Amino acid sequence: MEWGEIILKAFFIILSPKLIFLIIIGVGAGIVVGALPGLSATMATALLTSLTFGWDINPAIVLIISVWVGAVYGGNKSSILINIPGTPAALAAAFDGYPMFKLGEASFGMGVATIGSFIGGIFGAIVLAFGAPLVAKIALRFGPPEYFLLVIWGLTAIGSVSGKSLAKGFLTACLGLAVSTVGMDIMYGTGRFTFGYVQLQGGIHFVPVLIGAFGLAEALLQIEKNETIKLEKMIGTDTIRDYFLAFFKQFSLTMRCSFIGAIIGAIPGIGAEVASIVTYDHAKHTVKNPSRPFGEGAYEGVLAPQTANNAALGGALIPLLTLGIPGDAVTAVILGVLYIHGIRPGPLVFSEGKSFFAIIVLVVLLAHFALLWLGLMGNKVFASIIKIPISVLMPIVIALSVVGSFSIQNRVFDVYMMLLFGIVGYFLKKGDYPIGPLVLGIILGNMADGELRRTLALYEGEVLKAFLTRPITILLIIMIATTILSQTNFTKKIIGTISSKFKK
Amino acid sequence: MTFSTSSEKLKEYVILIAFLIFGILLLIASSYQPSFGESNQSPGVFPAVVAIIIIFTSSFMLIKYLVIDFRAKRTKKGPSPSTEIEIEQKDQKGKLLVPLIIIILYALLIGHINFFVVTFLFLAALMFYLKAGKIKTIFIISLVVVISFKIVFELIFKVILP
Repeated sequence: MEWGEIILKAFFIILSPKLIFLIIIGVGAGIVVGALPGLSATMATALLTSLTFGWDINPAIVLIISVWVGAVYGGNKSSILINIPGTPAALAAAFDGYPMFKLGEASFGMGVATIGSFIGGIFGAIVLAFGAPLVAKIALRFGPPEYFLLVIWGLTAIGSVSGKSLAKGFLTACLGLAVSTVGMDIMYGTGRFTFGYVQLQGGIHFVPVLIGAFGLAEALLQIEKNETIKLEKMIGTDTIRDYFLAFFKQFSLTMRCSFIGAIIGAIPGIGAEVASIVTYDHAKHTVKNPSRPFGEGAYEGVLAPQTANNAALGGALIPLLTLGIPGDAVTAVILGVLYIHGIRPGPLVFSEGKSFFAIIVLVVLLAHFALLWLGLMGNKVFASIIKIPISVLMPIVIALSVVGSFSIQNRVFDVYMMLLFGIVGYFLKKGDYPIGPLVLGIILGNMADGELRRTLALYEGEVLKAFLTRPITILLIIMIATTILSQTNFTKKIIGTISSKFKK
Repeated sequence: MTFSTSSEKLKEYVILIAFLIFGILLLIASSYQPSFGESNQSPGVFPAVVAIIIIFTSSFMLIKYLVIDFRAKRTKKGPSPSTEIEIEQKDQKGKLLVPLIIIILYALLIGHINFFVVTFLFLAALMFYLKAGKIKTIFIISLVVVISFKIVFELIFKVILP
């Protein structure tokens, strides 16, 4: 059967009222899950695995992918409205999204995020359809040195994007890396920095840290300020036309971020979190005249990471479907669903299961159309949350933070961790230290630790041989060096001098 | 770079010294990790590298701030604390103490008292302190939030609550 015939057949299958209904319901539920801190896409898809156990493969996979699409997008709602990223992938959206909320542009920020997510998602689906075998081949060539450098690149990017000082970003990233080393050692199974506490054996989960450092710390700052903000003026009078105008103005940026997001998403173990951070950094360095300085409410700072988020989603399906390697926790759940229904992902998907592959691509496409519709319709509804006074909203945010941190592992200990990192985050924020690197350090710390030691073991401790004899590692080192150098005062001065000469 | 207030300067120094102490303690703790024959594969390698970066970066920043401070004093352009800002900040510190105690008590009571009861009490207490409205309004809001938590988290999403 030819591809044209296969796509047509897949279209007829997917356009059944039942599957369309499941896509809309799935995306809607996913947005709610993503917007509520503590409820993750992984948790929702894992719950759905048991719910859809007895279903046919098509409705099961349609519902799970739709919830995933909605949840990845929905995380920006709480990032923008209460400065708590609903999902780790929405971390970068808070950098400019929350300042936009403070400036009365919450619905505009969410509108731009919706357009970005839609475009990114469509791009990701196209990349999935056409670039799957090629990208999978590149990802397959990644070894421990490449993975280690990729993590370092992600950390240097976030260190340089989420604050005025690169050194402060480094310090908080290192704090996160140090926290990630607590618990059972991944290679030898010995306890590290547990000090005899059983609860620390499993390590410190990044979700309570994320909720504490972002949610509780922000709530404490708001309570301390006790500002009387004119909340009714904060929704704005923007329309759908404004969101599209903003997108057309940054068309090139959106396309670049879609591309970067899809590529990073296709690298197993990296995912949407890194894609959003890297593209935020990219936007910061390439957008010459942002609507406002980055970090102070520039809509470009919301558009870029949100575009990459959903583009990464299509990319993450590439190694899953072509190699059977899940890119992140959600794709691992999807892999489980595929196995339950007797589908073995791998090269055979492209020969024997072509129509199934076409169905997945179409689900990703249609789910993003549902996202666009639901996202734009529900923007004002979500923005109405800000009508609630701070004296009422902040206690609710704190209670939500407690629920969110407990529900990850059902441990009160995680609530204490959330509280501890909330207080740490409060002091760091008071000192103008960025919080993003702290959380990313914890997320990527184990990977950096493991890959570094695996590299040292593979190359018998010869660091230069490990990192300077492989073309991809050299490319990554250049990218890391460029990221760091671009943030130093010396480089900034040189760039400033050159650009002023050019202007003259 | 200059410090606009003396409290800002103090804040910077305190945080950097805290980072420096943390880095030193992390380095010491890393050295106690077993080596498993090959030292470069020890569980202490990665935390030690992180600790060295923390020590180096915080020391560098401390020295940088000390130099800036020293230069500012010499040129008599040092910190010019604004009395208004200082007073405002003192007021703010006081405002956070009671909410922080309420939050810590809430966290400590979770697991010992029914979650919905303790959440209701927490919401009511904090809203009352923040002057969210009349006692009756606070009572109704707290009740609605707790019931919403029960419906959304426990009944719909099947989330296990404390």
